[in-house]
Amino acid sequence: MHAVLEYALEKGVGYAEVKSVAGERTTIEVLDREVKELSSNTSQLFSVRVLYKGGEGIAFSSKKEGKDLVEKALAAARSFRKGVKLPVLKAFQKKIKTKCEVHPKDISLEEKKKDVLRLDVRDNFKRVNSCRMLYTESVKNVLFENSEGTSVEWDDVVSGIMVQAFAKEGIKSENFYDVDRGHKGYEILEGAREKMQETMRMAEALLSAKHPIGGVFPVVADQRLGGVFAHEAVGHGCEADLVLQNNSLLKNKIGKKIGADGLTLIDDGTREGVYGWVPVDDEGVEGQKTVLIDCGVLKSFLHSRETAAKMNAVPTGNGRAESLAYPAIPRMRCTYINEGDASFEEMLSGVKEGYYLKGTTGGEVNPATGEFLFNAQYGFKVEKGDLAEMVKAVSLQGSILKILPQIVLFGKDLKFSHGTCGKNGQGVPVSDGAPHMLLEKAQVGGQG
Amino acid sequence: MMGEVEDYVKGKVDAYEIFYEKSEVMSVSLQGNNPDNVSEGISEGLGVRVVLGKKIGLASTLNLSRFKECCDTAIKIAKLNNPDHHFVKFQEKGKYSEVKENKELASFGFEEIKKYLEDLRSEVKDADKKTKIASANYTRALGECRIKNSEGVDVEWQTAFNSRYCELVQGKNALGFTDEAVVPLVPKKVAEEVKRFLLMRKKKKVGSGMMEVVMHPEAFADLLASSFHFAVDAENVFLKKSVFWDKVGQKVFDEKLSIVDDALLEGGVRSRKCDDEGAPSRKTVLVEHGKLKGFLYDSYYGHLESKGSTGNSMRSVASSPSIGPSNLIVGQGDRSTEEVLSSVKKGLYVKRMMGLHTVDSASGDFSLAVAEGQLLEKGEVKEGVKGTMIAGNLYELLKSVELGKERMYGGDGHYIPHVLTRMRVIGA
Repeated sequence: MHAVLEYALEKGVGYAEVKSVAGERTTIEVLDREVKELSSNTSQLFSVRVLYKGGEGIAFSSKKEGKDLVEKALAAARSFRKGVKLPVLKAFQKKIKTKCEVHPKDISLEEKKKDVLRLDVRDNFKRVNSCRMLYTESVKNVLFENSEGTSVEWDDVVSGIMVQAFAKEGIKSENFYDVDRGHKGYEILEGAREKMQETMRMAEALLSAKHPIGGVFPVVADQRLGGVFAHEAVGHGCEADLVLQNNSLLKNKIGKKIGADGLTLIDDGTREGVYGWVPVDDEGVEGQKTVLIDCGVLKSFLHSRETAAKMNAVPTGNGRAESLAYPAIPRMRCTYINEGDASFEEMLSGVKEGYYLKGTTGGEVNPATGEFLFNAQYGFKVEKGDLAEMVKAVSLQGSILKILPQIVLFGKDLKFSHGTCGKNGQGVPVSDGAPHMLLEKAQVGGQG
Repeated sequence: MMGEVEDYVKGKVDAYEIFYEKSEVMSVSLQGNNPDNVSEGISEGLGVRVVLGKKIGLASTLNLSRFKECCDTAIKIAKLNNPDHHFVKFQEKGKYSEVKENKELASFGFEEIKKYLEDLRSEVKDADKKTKIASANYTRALGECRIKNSEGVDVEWQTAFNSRYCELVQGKNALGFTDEAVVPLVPKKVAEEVKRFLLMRKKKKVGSGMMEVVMHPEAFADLLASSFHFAVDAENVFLKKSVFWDKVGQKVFDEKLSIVDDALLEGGVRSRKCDDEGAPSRKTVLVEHGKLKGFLYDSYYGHLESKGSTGNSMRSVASSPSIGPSNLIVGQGDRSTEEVLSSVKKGLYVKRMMGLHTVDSASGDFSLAVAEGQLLEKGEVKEGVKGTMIAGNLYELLKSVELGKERMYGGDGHYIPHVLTRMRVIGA
């Protein structure tokens, strides 16, 4: 790697970085007690990024072709001049090793297969007619070196288990799923059986859930839904590339009050082991904790090196890419809303007619207009402070600046969950979290 | 290369399949008027599936020089896998129809992309001085694939594809649009997008209730992709997860609706001579005049159900094949799009929704925000709408539709007309 870097410097580049990722991924998919897929994939990718007279180019390849990659990156940099500058950072050397209680390499594939097959516990659930488990593990060696003298090596392990159950009764069918992922080892399977049981119970329970009646209501959101809210409604709007594109509603809002006093929102790359842990980002910037909203006031954006240079800010360690085949752009890590001191009962008691919404099947936001939508997995009607009938397929929509002041109560029960965030065709691992929260007014959609 | 791999694996297993894929990607992004990310890359990989008795093993590698290790891993995995009693055999040899491969993209490089982006900029500027490009991306991908298996299949093909994304902004308004083709793109449609953007800057609220909604081909394609694809996938039919599993021959939709999958469509974005298992491309009727006619098969489910593959297998080197449509074509109606739009007294015209990944693909239930929609009043397309949601069940609402006469490209291989239907609208 070092030779490639030197070759780039000989060619007169202003900055160069060289990366390599080599890994092995194992997948076990079980569908209805049959192994549907058992596979092993080894991959390797090399990339070179150069800055040359204000132009920037990236080249990648699955072949180890160091000098050719420099030439290709240079050709790309020469074709498009853009006046790029990067902030100069203090060089550091770092070796990181993901902590595993049980390293996946220490367990045989045979044993793993048996363990995943054992997760199908449907005998106690008569209406569950199909279930699926997907176990993935990826053991990677990541190398980074740049012309400033920074070098990083990360021996990483990412494990994940997804469980999904389908339930059927007459012509009705429903499904429910749950996922656990993180920078950890085989211990990911601890508690997976219980997760599967709960998933089956929920799939059956949804069979008798009703579609909600749409309209504007007070809503209590659980931690998962609250986490998606933190991510979609606020996090994306704080990504500095969108701000620079005039594509974020939060553009001129730094220092301004945009949420209730109780709202503090953080994007944190230092939570070791969680999905979205970024000890060093894909541009060689060390991980950190970034406060986005402090007591309702917008404090910071999320930066890559390039956006930080353009906005005269300090890089926040958010330059991330799906793989070496993609450019690093500002992305979230673990985004969460801080705890308050309200109890769940206190939140419910204030709701005459509304909803308690739980879980999520995802969401989306248009950062320019601030309009967002996210779906709860299920929920309950709330009548005079009490939980009533179960509802399904519920979505929430609104616009950021209108809804933020509507969150009036924050619970003391912060919890995290994880997912994959998509932006510009790239998916990266993230986590999000929140305590239970009460939204005074929110637009609920449903078919009822 | 393929010969060497075949020679190595041949005597060791009962059946094998070797899939090779190479892809070359060139991508340029703009941020505002400036180039943002410029990259070029190449990746090459090998996926090997082997069978021992009824046990299947899959391994892949992006390091071609280590193909022996990859084959050995596939064999090791097959040995410890459980037998798959549904597996019959790999795809057998077939007759391939020649599909015209477009070579224009092969010589499309940074200079051409640069010219395209410059033209795009000036088109937007000419259409309206105040409208700016927030971001844009142009990606060109060339691919080379080859498949060889123990049933005698040995076929290779090339793919070429390019896509563009552009987002316009003005004040608090934004509008994004995409385009994709197998030939180089030209920015000529941009002026129309700017015109629509300007009309949509004014936003109005809609009321709530059941309403007539005209779906633009892009919106209709998105809805089909989030649930109909699941319903016609032979795997979901076999597992009885599809709402259609026991409905072949029955009327499932309005009789005006006919839907076919056609990988031989001339000039189609997903046209090809064979699928990713080497099964010859063909035309498959899925729905004819509202009646369910058939499903999409890969070789696994095609053999299992004795139907044969419909040529709808998709994969990467690292994954087992799965089923997916090629070009999905919805038959036209007999009224022009304009007539369909002008038949609506009060309703919505929807082009883009938000939250599509939250659609319940098994049941077809959806509840989505309208990301881009306009009011329809007395037959006229008017202001944009804000804070609006639409909800319903895809299979219920397709029981009564009106279709436009003009078919358009709706993205992701869909060729479809405008569709008018009724659904629940929830205003802010």
